Amino acid sequence: MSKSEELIKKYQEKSEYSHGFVTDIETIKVPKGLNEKTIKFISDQKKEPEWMLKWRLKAFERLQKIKEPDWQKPKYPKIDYQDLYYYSAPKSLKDQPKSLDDIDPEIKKTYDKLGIPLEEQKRLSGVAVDAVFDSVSVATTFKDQLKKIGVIFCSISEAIKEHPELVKKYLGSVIPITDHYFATLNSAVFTDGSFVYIPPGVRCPMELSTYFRINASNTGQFERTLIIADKGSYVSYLEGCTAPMRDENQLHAANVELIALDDAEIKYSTVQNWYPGDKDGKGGIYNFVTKRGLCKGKNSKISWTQVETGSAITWKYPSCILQGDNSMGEFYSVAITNNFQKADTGTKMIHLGKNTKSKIISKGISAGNADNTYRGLVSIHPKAKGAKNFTQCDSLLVGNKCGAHTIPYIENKNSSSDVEHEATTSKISDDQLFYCRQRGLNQEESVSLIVNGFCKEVLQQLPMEFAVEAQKLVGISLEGSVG
Amino acid sequence: MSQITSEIEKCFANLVNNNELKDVNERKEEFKKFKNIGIPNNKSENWKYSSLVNDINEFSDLKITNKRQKINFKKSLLDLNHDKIFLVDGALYDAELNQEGIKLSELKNFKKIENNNSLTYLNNAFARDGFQLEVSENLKVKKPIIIYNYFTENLSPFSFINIKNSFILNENSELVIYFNNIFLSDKKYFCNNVTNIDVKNKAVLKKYLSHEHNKNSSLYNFYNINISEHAKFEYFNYIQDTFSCRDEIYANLNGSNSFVSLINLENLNQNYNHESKWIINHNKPNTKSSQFLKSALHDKSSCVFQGKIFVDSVAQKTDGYQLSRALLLSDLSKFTAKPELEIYADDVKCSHGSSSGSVDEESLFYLRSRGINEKDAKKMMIEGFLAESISKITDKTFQEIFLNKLALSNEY
Repeated sequence: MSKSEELIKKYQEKSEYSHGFVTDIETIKVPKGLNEKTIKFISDQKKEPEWMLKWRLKAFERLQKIKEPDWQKPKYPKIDYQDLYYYSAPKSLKDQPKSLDDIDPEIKKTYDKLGIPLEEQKRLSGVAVDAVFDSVSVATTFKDQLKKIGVIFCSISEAIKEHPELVKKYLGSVIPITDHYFATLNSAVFTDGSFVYIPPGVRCPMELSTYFRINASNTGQFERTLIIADKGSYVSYLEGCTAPMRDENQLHAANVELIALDDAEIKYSTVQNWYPGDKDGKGGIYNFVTKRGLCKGKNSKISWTQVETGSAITWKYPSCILQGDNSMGEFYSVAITNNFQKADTGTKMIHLGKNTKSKIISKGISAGNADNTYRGLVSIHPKAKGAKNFTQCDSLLVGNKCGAHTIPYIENKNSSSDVEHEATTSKISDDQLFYCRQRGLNQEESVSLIVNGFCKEVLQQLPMEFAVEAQKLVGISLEGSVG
Repeated sequence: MSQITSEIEKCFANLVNNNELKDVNERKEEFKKFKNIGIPNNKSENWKYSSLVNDINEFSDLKITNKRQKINFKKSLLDLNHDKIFLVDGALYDAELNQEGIKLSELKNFKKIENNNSLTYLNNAFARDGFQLEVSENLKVKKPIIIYNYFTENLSPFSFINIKNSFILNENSELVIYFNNIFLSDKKYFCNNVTNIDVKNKAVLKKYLSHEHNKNSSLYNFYNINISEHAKFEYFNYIQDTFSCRDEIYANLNGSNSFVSLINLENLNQNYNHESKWIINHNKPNTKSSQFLKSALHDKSSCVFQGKIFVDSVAQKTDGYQLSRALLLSDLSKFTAKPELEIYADDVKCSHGSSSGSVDEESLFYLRSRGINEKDAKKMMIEGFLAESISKITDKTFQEIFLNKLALSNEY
């Protein structure tokens, strides 16, 4: 074995998924299959009101009429929707824990391994965590503190019961049940997720965060997140994802809806580190998520930041509908694919209101046999006078077996608007590597440093807690890719 | 099956029954492939923004044209020493070629162009008019060849024309062609034009086109271009007010050190529109490509641009460049772009840019402050914007011709 091969082997072993462990606890599962019975069971388990069940069934009815889309670049074997579990809740959670101390020690241990000890975080970082373990929200911390200033931060099932007026008004207003296949599937069978409401004029004092985790095998995870920022409010929301190692591919089809009213601002950050499959491309999560934000009011702002390092296939386009005048949408993305991972991600910016602005910064990095696609749409409607867009997509290739693709769509229908798009593709230059090596860094460290520099514009958008984790992830994800 | 597809089927059956087609079995095979897909519509990704397909889908009572009108206006349009080829409604009519080593022949037999596209299948099945132009080895053709393509008054409404042309440049040869489309008819017809171009080792082909004042016809121009080692291909299209036109270019860089340059200048008024789909396949290392499009959109006009740079995993050291820019001069004009990159090799330099917007207010102010009235200032800026396309042409004579054309076209 040559020296470089040895090095590769060493790092490949080292970089194997460190979050891949299975928590052994009893779970309640509904029998496999996608049918009305399953939906009724989910609704019943969650003690949902009648209108919610009707809404789900309407979505299901439509689901049977529409087809799964197939235009995406990464192809995958057909998913058998009848062979999935649609509900899985830890049994010991049947009675919801009343405080952090009530949490199942097994579950707690899992979070400790992931590095989000609830108590630690509660005390040290001031982050309120709504942790979703499989489908049921395990614990929501800091709820009371938030309650005092009027912020509602709870699981979506709780919100359906406690705040039906808000849920009824906004659920499905950005991603209707008449949307595409996966979004409609989610509308029919979503199990849990987070709900956030920030009252007028309130600046949420802490970063809100959810930590999703798929545990039971053969379950699809379908969360639904709804965030509403009322007039003049501000919220920053973090989402982190991890899944244990499984041989079979698992489906994750979440829906995230954001609504920003007049002068409100929502910042949504994601670090996605689902299990990417092994070195040979076996297993891994299919991450088919629908994320959409509506800048409904004047001067509102929605900002998406995502660091995508995991999943076998990532297929998502966090989008902004800029409806209010002077509203603003931002999208910052780093997508790293290694081994056999595939990503088809980007954004949509729909400019409807006057003087709307959007900015897109996308950095794609592919290594190994991976395929990375940026696909995006910038659409300026005839009434969007003075709209401005700036898009920059850069791709970095590591090795000659991977691919990097850019597919932007630009539709400009207004003469007073300015749309700019630029994209480049390059590789890590030998000069850069030589410079770093000369200063005593080894090959891996050099690559990590250069890549981190390449993504800097995006990483600096992340809140502090995530920025550190993301930087580490960037390094880990690329280990073993340079020999 | 849509109405238009079944009408086309009837036309094809008629031709077959009357024994009007050569190589009928091969043609039937191609027709079958067409029928499987049918006339495309906006639902398919490839034709998403296309207004051409909407126009064709409205056709009824199709007529297959084979008889050509006699023309007696074989005049030179340019004060330039050149050879001439005359086409009537796309078909070869006459030629005045006085240079040795250039072979021109009719192309009546079946010739297959591979592309998974229903309109090229259709052309493969129907085409029986066209020509082949071949330049022999080591010949640097001195005089440019101008091809005058007249669409005559004689065309009946809803004519359906299928033409296939072929250009072969043998090793180390050079040629400049100017393809001048002249529209004498205001009738509605559909011309499906497929061109195959082979540029062999070290050969250079410069192909310039103009396409002006086409009021009613729908045109589909498909090019399949194979470029070998050290060979160069340059394409420039001057587009002014075309009713409904789509140019689809597949340029394959099949030899190392080959180069392709595609340039468009579009100046559109009223409700005219133009679509371009350019695909450049870098199949070998050390290849270079450039795509450059400038579009000035007045009134209700629209421009669609789909450009793609594909880089194969062996095509290291590729240099790919693409720029599309549009000036939106009215609230009803539209610019749609899809500039794509698909890259499988790591040691490459690829970039693309696309921008669209209005005339820069500051520059306008600058000109006005120097005593130029608004109308003239705007005109200057549009002209300057479009002239950048012309500056990319490497043949100086034609650069001047097109600059003059542009200066005249904006006299309003």
